[in-house]
Amino acid sequence: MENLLIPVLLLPLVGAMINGFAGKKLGDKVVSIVGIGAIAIPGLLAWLLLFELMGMDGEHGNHLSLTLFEWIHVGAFKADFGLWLDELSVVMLLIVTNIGALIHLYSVGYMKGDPSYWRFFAYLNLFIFSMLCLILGSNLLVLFLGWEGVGLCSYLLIGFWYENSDYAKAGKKAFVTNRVGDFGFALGMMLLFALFGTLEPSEINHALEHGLPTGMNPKMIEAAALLLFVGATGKSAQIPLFVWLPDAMAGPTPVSALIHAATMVTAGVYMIARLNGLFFHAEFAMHVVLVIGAATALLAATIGLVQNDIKKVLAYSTVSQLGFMFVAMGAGAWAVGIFHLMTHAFFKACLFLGSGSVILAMHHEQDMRFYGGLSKFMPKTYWTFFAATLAISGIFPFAGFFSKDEILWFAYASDRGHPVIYVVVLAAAICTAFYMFRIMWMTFWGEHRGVPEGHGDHDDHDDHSDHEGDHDDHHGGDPVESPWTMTVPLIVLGALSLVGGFLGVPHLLGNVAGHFPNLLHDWLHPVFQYSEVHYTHADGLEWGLMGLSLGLALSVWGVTAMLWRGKDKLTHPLDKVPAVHKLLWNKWYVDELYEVALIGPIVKFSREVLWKIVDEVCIDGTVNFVGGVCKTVADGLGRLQNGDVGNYATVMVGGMLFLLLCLAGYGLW
Amino acid sequence: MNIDLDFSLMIPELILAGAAVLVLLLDAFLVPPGPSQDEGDPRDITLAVSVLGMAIAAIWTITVLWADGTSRVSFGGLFVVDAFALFFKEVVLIGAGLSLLLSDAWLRHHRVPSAAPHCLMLLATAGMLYMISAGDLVMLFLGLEVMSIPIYCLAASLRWDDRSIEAGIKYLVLGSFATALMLFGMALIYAFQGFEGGVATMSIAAIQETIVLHDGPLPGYAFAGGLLMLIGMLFKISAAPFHMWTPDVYEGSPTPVTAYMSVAVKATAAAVILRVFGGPVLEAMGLEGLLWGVAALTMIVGNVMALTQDNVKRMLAYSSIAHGGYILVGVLAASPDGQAGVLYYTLAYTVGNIAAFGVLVHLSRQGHEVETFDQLRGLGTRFPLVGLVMTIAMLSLIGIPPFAGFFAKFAIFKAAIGSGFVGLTILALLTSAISVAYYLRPLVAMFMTEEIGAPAPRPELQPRLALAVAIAVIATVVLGVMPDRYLDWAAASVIALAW
Repeated sequence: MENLLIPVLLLPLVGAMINGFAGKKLGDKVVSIVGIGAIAIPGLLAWLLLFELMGMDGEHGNHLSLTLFEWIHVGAFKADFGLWLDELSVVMLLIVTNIGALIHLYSVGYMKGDPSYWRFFAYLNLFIFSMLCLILGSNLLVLFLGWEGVGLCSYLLIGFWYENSDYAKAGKKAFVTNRVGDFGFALGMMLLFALFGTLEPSEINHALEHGLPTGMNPKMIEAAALLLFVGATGKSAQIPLFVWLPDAMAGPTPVSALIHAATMVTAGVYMIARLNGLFFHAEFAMHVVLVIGAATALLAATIGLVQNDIKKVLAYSTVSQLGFMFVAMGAGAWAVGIFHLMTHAFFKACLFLGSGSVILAMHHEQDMRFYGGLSKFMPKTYWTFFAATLAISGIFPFAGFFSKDEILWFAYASDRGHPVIYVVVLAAAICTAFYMFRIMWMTFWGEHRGVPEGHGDHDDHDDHSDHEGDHDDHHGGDPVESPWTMTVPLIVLGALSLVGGFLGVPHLLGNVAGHFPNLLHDWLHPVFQYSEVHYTHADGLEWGLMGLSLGLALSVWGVTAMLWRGKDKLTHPLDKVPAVHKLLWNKWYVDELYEVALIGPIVKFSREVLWKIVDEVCIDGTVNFVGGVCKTVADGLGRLQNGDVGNYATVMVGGMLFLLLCLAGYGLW
Repeated sequence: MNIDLDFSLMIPELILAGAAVLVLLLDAFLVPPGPSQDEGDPRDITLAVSVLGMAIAAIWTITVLWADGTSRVSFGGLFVVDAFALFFKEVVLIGAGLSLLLSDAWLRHHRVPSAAPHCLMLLATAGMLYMISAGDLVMLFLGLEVMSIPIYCLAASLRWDDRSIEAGIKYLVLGSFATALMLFGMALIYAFQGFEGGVATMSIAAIQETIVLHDGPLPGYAFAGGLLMLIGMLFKISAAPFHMWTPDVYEGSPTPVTAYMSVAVKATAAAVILRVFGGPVLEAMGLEGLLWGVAALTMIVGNVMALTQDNVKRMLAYSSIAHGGYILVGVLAASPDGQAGVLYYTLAYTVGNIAAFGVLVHLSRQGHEVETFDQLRGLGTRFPLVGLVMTIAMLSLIGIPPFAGFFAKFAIFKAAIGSGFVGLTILALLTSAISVAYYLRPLVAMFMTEEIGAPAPRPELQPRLALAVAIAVIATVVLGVMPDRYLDWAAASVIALAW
């Protein structure tokens, strides 16, 4: 059965190769079939693997593992290219392949007519392959291979329309920012190897099952966990490395949905869950994770309050929701974090895809001030987007309610949580509801405002708006609903956003409903069983906090309705406090701060010292000097090499006599 | 004395010799005169026989003989078949077989009849295999001659081209000179064995034992004998200062012959040096310091001189000298690690070099040779696959991961440091750094400059050449990505040399 992992892993790679090398000649239709098939088949096989795992009954959890080939054996260092499927990775596998397949289907409609259609699908398939390496890798080196692979694909896809230099720059920013994180990750890996002599998470967790091994310095564990978390802040866009993700929205919208919302950016969360044994014993590192996660959740959510670009809002929302997941990790609520990762994949993918549908209908206009009243024109997009909004805002009984509320509860009740963290995260949740309903009002409800004449050519997207022909109407005409390839994924994801939460009903609610089990929690239990963090049991309090957050979400909905319902002007309540509005509009000036504090000095140092002194004087000088010496020597020796056989024989005899003389000398001494 | 004659051990050599004779007979009686015209020409039968001969010999070596495992000696000690010999035989057969495929494309392009060159290559390869298996100085010398004479002819085989004739003559004159020195050395060593060892024998093992067990420094004539024998082999491996013939001969010879010499002859010479001077022998003979100097000089001369060349074949000639220097570093290390490193190195160098020469053969036509950097200009951009092959070949020769050359250098340098040759290793690293400059030049020409003049016509792809280059490139990558298996194989092979 574990052999099924081979097609699951390799089909996306095969698809990427077919589309990458031959896609141009195959035509869009074949490219679509190959591209979708290469993900959909693994998606189906993933279900078979799930059933297989469910059928096994190992005492301490089940797993399927497989060594594809021996990769590196150097001395004591051993890393095989192995795959490892357990309760945790199968959840990720299902999310990535199935949502991936839906988004591939959506891309058929979204990317229709793009001259580089084949390239898009090749990258997308390659991304899934890398992501599967990341998820299924049995040791951290394979995981790291996937980690770097998804980074590469992300870079390629952000800059997919590389003719636009802004987009290319956004890709570069993502890549460079991630390098900082990867540096930490690589160091963390080395430290882990030094500590444990292995890079297999299963072995590392096993070694820590019953506490720290004797003689191991707990500070080293902390250091390794922190270094790995640095990697996670890069990939999963947390403070201080989150700045690349909002810019990454330059990529085509399906990319935003797949890579920058549903899958890749959750890699950091997955990595921590994978190494739960390590983090469990690194209490300080977990505090750092908790604080960073909460701070990111609130910071990004506040920025989202005022943005007018629909994808920008969703991007900051993603950063914020990732912060929620890290709060769960920091509080030791591993299964809850993974639960939120899953529900977030449902509703955020749905939101991004819905926004893509809107953007297409609006001829690549992303400014919500020109939207409004779209519910009439595109009902399918509207209803699915609405469902996802309800989910992310935490309205009972939709997916986000269960997962987010669990995070809030554990932030408060876990031994590693703190009431202050709870308050911060609750504030972030309020902001979430606010900006989401603001999108609903500005985009779908109210009157359609439309793009004024002459405005359409302002934006950068026009150079690739070959979609125009397919959406036949001209500028200013009524927006139309997107084709079925795009609405079907929306409907599926919308439905999942509504009901996905029932996979993880909290025990509190489950007991009320007649012992309805927390399916996901029970399923993941074997993975996390040795890292369980103690938390306060207080049913009354939990009921109270749950009611509080639900009540707040609903009242935020009401507030937004009061602000915008039936109004024809789009005022923002924060307009009255310009200083705050400006601060949030400019994203807390984080980019500017980095520019002044880091980028500027680094560029200056590089130019003035590294370039003009180290490079030009030291390195070039040395190289030119060595080159000059070599050339002089070569010219001298070259004179001997004049093509005359007699000369050559003389050199030989000379050499021989010299060596004989040396020998004679050696004998005499 | 009971002399056993186990011909089954000699089957690869016999196949090659038989194939050579068969090629000549077919050429004389069945095949019309003149060069092969196109695919399916009856003249191609000689090629088929040659390639099949090489392939069967290679397969026999790796399957039947290797599977037997144990070291065996036959023909009264003349002929030794052990893991060490089999490894080198396999390397030589791979290098020779791939060169043969290259030569087919080249001969077609240049409208040269193919029977004679192929026959000569088969014979020379048989000679190499005998040298590798030699358990006796007589056998070694016979193998040397069987190898050398056909190669002199091969170098001169383009008989209307002055450069080719000149290359053949030069190689013949200087090669004979080196052979004479070697023969004289053997005589002196034989005398030493007779006086000191008690039994007058040419057996290499017996002579080595006498040398190692000898108390105090060897007598002067034995020193000289050892040195002269070493010089004979240093000439073949083109170590400085016995390298002078190399650039002229490599440049003048037909390209596939150059490929053949650079890989097969070098591997054979390395095998003989390891066999005769391996383990404690070098030190016991007092030649360690001298070989140190020769290795250092070879690395310096090869790498420095390669910098200033304009002709790619000449550059590769100096590169080949430099690689000879690295091989000598491994020989000096003398430990099993170092010996295994040499084995792996010859294999990695063989496949990388064949790929590089394959590109030149592919691009060259009668009247339009592609040999200089200028002639390569812009071709990588126009023919990306050709550019990719050249890139892999050059990166492997530099020793950049993930290609074979990296682990080859790594293995040798590591062994050298392990044996205490830190200074020499640093020198080797520095010269490797210099080598980057000239190995990147073909790539710069191919990718970063424009073609001069009218674009050259697209060269037609010869399937046999494509096969050879594909094998070489895949091997270069596989050896670099998954080196363990082959390093283990090399390590297992040198156990046969253990003292």
